[in-house]
Amino acid sequence: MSRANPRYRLIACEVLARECAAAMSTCAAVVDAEFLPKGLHDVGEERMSSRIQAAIDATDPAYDAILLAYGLCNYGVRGLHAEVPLVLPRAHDCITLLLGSRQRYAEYFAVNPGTFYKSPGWIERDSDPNANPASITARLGMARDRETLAAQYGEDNADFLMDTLGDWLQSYHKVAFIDTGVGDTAHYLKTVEELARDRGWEMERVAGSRALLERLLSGQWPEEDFLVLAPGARVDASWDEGIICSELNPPEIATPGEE
Amino acid sequence: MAILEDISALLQKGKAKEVKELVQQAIDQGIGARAILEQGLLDGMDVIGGKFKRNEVFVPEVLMAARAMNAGTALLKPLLATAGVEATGKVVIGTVKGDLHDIGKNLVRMMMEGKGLEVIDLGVDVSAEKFIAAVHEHHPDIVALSALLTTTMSEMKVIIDALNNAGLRDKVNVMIGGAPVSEGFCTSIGADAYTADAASASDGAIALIKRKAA
Repeated sequence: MSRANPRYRLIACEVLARECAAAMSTCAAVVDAEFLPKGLHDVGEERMSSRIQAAIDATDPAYDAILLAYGLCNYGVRGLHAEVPLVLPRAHDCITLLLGSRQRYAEYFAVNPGTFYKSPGWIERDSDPNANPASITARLGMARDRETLAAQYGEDNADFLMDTLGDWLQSYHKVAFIDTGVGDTAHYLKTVEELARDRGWEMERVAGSRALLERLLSGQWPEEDFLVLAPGARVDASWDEGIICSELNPPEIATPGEE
Repeated sequence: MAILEDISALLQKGKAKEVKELVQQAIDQGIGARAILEQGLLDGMDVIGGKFKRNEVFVPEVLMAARAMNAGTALLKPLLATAGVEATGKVVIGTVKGDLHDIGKNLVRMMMEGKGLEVIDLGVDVSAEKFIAAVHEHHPDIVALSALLTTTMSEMKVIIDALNNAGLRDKVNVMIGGAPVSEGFCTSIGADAYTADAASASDGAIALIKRKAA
């Protein structure tokens, strides 16, 4: 009798739901998935990591590994730990998972500063952080609308505050639609075209890749592209090319002036 | 003096126009520019900065106060210069290459200006070369670097290395800030100071300048 395929628990951001489902449908491993709300992206490191940790803690330790379809995501994965091996792709955020490699993301990012990224999940499952009272922008008082500000502080101050705080995207000039080959592409393109038109932005359709997700789900985890944590070890930011590391083995801290 | 207390109180409420009017009145009454600055404007700004650190007021309130502060200091500047009161120090500030976010950086700039620092703002997406050129041109006490993304914060190390290579590192203090930045990261890249918010950044800048002068 041949050895059974491994069984993995996948915990993923819902923004990647379609791409994960596509990768799950073809991988050899048996994967059970749980999708967590996109809104975790907006609520800060502690709240995000505690929500993911709760999902990890609720996982049956009989799984061969827990896979996280997350990037560093504003440190939202820092401190995470599990009773079974915990596997994460080396990524700053989901754009790496949508483009298939962090090198590809870095190359695109370097020549396209000020680009807003959209994907099927970021179109279908986006939510307004300003509408979430737990979001960082709301907690900093940056989510109030003009009407509220005018009532609080007068028209002159409301104009000033809207000019200063009203639009964090004002220096952006491009939207990139990452086409991962899932879902209703015609609808996505139309949505992104409308956004580009409203904003006066350039638009580019960029070929996505599910390769990194497929490798995550297939147990192909070379050190180069994945962090595989032993049971009990915690995720940390490495502040180097590897992006994340095990907290048990902190990277050597560079001395100033050295290179 | 009651008028200086009024200036402080109005500044805390973000009433830029009224602050400006009262500062002018105070000048006309013959009150010294330094007293107006310190007992009026800076007093109000300190109160707001403290409340911000304690989460009693938020970013809009600080911004409005900083704007009122700057409306008042604009009137005082020529008088302070005549009186021989020098600017507290000079800061070159910018958001690092690849990063186009500037709300936090602008807030820090306003708070620093409010504290009497001269701030040269290089804007967003600023390369190491541009920072080096600005240090050569302006001879600042501090270079202040901002980043919102973990993808761009590594550029801060690039800038520090460039300052080293240009032989400028010991001539300036490097401050860093922004959502992904922390004390640990500050140490790891060899920056001089990390501050968590705009009020702390302006206080931190002044502390660094005083330390340098001592």
